[in-house]
Amino acid sequence: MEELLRGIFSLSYWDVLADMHGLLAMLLLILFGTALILYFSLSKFAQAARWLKYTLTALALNLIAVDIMGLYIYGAYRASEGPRTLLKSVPETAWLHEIVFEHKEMLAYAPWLMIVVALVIVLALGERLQSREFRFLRMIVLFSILVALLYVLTIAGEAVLVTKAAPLR
Amino acid sequence: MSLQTIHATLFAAATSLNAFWILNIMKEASPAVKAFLGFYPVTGPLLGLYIASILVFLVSLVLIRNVPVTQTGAFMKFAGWYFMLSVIVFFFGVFPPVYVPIVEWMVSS
Repeated sequence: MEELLRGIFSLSYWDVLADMHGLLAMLLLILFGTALILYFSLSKFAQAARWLKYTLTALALNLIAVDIMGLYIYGAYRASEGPRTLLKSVPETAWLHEIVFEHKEMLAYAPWLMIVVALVIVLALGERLQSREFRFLRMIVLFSILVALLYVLTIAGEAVLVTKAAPLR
Repeated sequence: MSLQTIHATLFAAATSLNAFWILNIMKEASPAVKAFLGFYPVTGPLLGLYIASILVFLVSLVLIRNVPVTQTGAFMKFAGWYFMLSVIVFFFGVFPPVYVPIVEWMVSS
């Protein structure tokens, strides 16, 4: 136990922030799962639209928090002694920054915006979302949740590739 | 919240996504754009790119929200497809093997 505590307390500031960033990203997966279950339960129980609204709100806030934290950590990644310098110094790992990390940092702009779009639709329509009249908008809600999830999974995969080669310390 | 707000949000989000990848290409092709977006040296131009794209979202949302055409069902279909197409294009628009050749072509011409 003592060894564990010593290890945890010896983590650097950037280590802790990077771990929190990953923790928030994992929380996203639970919220995406909840949102999908609630979406497919819209016609099953009366409160589904209301709970979908709450879940999408939490999802949007979580995505914005992950982005803000990511932008803050990005400063340390770009520092002269940071992982970017390490990756670019070796030709075998340069692609991890130039392709993988560049894509990851920019792709992260889309998911929060897509979830905000889904949230606005659910907020405006509420229980009317189930009606046949709004079938097209219902499809956009599903599209936004599914594609945002795919983008988050892509970003997570790219992050693992980069941090395996050059972790933030 | 009205249907008009939904339609305007779809349009503004799509425009913001397109602004992001277009601005990214412009920043790679033009040192002046890169310097403008890189006002905060710690994060480089990425922060400027995020802020500029969020501004595009907010400004286009405010501008389009009061335009009468956004109330129609036809605009809903247009904005919906524009949004979904922009989301897909965005994935490739920010992928270096796709945008780097475009930047190189722009710089060489």
